[in-house]
Amino acid sequence: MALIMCAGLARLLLVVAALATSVAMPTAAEAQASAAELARGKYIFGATGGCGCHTEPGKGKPVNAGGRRIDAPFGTVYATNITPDRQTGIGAWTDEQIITATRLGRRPNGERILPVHPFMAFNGIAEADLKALVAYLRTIPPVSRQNQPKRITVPLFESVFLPAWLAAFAARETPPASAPTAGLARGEYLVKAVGHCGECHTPRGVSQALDNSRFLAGNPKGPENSEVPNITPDPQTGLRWTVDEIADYLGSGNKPDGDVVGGIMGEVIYGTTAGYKDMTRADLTAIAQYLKSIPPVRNKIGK
Amino acid sequence: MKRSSNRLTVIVAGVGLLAAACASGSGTMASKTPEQLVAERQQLMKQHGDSWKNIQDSAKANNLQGVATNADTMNQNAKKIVALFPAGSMTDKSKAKPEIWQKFAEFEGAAKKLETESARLRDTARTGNAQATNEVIKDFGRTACGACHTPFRVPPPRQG
Repeated sequence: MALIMCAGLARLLLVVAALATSVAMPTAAEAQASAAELARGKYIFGATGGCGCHTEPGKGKPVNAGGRRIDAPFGTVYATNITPDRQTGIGAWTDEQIITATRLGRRPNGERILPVHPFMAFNGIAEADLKALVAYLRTIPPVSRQNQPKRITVPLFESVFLPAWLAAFAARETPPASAPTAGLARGEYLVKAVGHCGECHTPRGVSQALDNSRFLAGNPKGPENSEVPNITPDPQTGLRWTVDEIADYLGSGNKPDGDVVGGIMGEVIYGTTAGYKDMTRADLTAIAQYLKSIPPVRNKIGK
Repeated sequence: MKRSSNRLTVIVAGVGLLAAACASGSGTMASKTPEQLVAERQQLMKQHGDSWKNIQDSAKANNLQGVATNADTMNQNAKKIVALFPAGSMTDKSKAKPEIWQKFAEFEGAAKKLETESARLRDTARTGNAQATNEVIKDFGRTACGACHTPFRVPPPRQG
């Protein structure tokens, strides 16, 4: 019975997605943006960590050209080409189509993007920031690189489980028209939406949905088999650095003890064409202050 | 007769080569166990961390002599890195990623980068130009340390 309901839901979602699909092309106006908007877009791009999942790790890999392998419990996916190449990238998509894919996880042809792409977090990015981000994405050199097909190993995953999962967990918020500009609200916005910190730092339940009752409490089974630290202010198992030390770290990768960041955190701090390191001191401080304000959660990661 | 003598030559040469290979492989590094190598390189990296902390603290105190001294220590230690990572030197305690041995030339390049950058930092600090020294320090963590940590080290599970 549940299966039949899920299948029905899947069909309903497909119909809705098909209706939402348009064949519009980007207009000349969409291809042109002011220098200020591009700078803002690059800033947001950096504040996401440089959209690094869309760039293969390693020296000299073309930015945003996709191909990075991501293993998930349901199979393997490869990051897509989000350069402005018209054939293999997103160059032929309208601004609205790119925004819909980014914040709602839906391609112009109606296909659902698997929630490996953090659209649940990006759902909270302000409209103006998303528009600027899209304008900036269009300035990255186009790369002709075909997307690799995903390999799903769980039967009925896309026909049954994914629609049910999305119905249960997908974000339905309307993004704020404008982003908070200062204080804890700014920090929360950068942590939750733009920086999508929870995607790695919040533990997941059996359904693989984020367990936000333990927001940022660390994930012993993070991406690429990493143990992701608890960054709640719990004195025993969490982040004990001062606000300035956190801001220094996010802005440089340098830790207070002389160590230097590595792994995926290194990727998001250093970024691609921009990263966390390129955020203003005010924003880095807002993030640090917000991290100090969230509920401490006792959760020991690692031995 | 000639054929068997040829075969003998081949066998003798083979044994000789094998002996030579064993001899060349029995240098200081190969004689160490993976546990020793992992302990040594973790000690070396700890020293790098101490040097880097001292460099940043010295720069904040406008102590360029301190920057130069610690950058020189880093430079000397950087030269020891590659030899401490022979193939197969992994233990459960190691935080090295297997990618090191899959992309060894890249790993060597990253170690070399630490060597050249630490020399540049030392030499800049020795000129007494604080502004130029701080310029090198600004990107040093990323270019000299992070460029190796990001692809080749498993990050610690505890932060702060």
